[in-house]
Amino acid sequence: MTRAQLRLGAALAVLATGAAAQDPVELTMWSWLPDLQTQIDMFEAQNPGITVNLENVGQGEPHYVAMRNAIRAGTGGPDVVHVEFQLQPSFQLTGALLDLGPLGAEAVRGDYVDWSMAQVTGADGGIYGMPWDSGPLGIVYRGDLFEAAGITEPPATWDAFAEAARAYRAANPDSYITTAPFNQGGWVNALFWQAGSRPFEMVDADTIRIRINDEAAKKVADYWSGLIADDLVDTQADFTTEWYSALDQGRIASWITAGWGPVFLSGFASESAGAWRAMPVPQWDPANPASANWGGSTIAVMAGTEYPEEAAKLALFLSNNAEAANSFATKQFLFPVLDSVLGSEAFLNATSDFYGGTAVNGVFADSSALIDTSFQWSPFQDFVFSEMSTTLGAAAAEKRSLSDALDQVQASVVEYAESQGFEVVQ
Amino acid sequence: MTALPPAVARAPLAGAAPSRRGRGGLRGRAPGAVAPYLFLAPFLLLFLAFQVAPMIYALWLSLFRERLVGGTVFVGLDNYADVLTDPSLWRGVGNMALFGLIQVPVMLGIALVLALLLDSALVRGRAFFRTAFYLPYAVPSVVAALVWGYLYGPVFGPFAQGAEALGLGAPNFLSAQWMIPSLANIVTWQFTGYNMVILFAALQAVPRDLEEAASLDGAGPAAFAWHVKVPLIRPAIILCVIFSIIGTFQLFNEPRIMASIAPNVIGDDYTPTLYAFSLAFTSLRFDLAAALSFVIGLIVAVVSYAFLALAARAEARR
Repeated sequence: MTRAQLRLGAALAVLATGAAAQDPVELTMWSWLPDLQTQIDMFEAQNPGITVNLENVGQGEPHYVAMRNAIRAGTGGPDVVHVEFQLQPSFQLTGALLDLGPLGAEAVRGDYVDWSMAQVTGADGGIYGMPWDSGPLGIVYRGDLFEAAGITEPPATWDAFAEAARAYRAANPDSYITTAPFNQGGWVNALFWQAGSRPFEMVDADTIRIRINDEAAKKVADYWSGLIADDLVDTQADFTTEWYSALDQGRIASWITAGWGPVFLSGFASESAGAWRAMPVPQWDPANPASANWGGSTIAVMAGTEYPEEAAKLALFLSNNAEAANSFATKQFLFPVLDSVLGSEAFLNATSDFYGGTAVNGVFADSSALIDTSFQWSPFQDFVFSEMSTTLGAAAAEKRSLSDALDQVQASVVEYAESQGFEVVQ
Repeated sequence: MTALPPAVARAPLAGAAPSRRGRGGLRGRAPGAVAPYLFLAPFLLLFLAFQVAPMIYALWLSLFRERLVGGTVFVGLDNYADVLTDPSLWRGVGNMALFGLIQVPVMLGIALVLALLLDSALVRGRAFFRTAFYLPYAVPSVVAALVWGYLYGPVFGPFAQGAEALGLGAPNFLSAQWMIPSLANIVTWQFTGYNMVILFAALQAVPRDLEEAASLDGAGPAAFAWHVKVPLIRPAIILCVIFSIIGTFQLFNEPRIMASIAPNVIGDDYTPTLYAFSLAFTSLRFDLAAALSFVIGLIVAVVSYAFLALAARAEARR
């Protein structure tokens, strides 16, 4: 156990004995993670005075709608809540989340991957959520199909990937090397992020710099426009029935995905099990490798909670406790943000039959180390993702210029920010 | 619900109740004159609470603007101006107008033909067919949209697979060009039976001896149906058209389900109601969404009124 953990353990023990002397505390937690009850049971076993009611109010959008309704109404909300990284600024801005720094989070700041801590830290230095899991970029691909098409080396650069796409399409007129789902805001954003795009920057509390269509993003947009125009990649949307079957049956040969992708894929692609492999995402500049994050969540505490200390305890347990972290990594296959788990031999060397006996975690762990900390989300990321999805998705499907569509997104986000009272700098 | 004390029931209807003090008022009238209001009270209270009060709240919301920076400010009719000049709204209205122009005549045409057929003497098993045609309406629209989404699938859908087996190409029903006809198909499938039942009920009111008279004059069943029955059920047909117009502009479930199956085709402003939903829950502009809702209501009212005026003028000319 590290010193930090010992210190935390001592602090918690003191709190626990204090709590046991009071009335039992009931906390409500909202999360959609499957089987979370397992780790909740671990927590309750170690904290006899606290009961946790776990509720799943929906995955993604419906969950956030419920949260916002509860915040607006002032009642009916949870104590502890699942918030994805990209929504953190939006909830921080409205003061809906509790600063966990003084409640134990500051002591464990160094346990986490740098970029994840950066994204939960507010402008005032407060910690508004505990990083829980992440989604560093990588590619899972059909090793057999790539070999049959003559692609023997994982493409190290995006140019090499374009060549591989060409070779694959030439050898397989009925399938594509991958699909570019421009309807998926998180995916598009991650690719822009990897190329160095920094669309948002809070200059101060009321001023925001918006540069969605900066050079890096346009470079990525033009690259994919080229591949789409030459019919080298598909544009079908992801997470639809057609897409699941296309991956399983080889009509799409690879998936540019995040750390949670490998296990997710193994859950539905039964026919092609054993043929899949993982490789790092291609680079724009091999001398300066970079990566990005798609997805990943934090555990936050609502500002209006009746039991801040107990709620913080739960959040810290789920995100920092070694036993819980290992359980999340092995049972729910959450991609870890704790340095201790990311670096552990057991994690890095875990092999899987689905991936032909290879260990895929290392690819994503290496990727996680390349994610830089300077990327910022906007305080209205739902709107941004929705605009990107509608405008870029339609442009990709109709084979129009993605770069022009990006200019449109920039214009409408600037208009939105101004209508929300922000001072916009471009 | 029914045990409301008279004082409570009377309060919201104070304006409507006849004066008790004037001559010829309730004095001398039977106390049963209050009974209708008592019967209406449960419905009226629920109506006021769940229809009127939210509308007033929405009207209130639409006069303000909530901003992430700067809090809530009073903006008067600015939200309405923003909505009316928003191209997304008119795109949605255009989509729905196109949808309505295709779908409503086709659906009502089929419903009319089916109702006339069921009403004629030619058909056996009338009760079975009446139920069978009405059954799609009993399927929840979300379920219907999900199943049709599967049926339309370009790889898994039976139409696509069947066409491929026969060596023909099937159009991609979920592509941008086909989306409106595909949606129109789902709505037609669902509501033809509903409209048919309304028209069939209206046809029952047509006197039977007219038919005998017509056949004596040499009119066959088809001519009789077209020249006599259809004009006689005109009010029912107009009713169905009005319902369909309202339903067209309120189309929400089907496009929303299709949006998850074909997200590249259905953006969040594909129909006006989808746009209002995304304004409220994605852009968090509840004020704009409230203003938009009233504008949509106004558009529906204008279109319905225009249709009624047209119908009345055609009637007057006959």
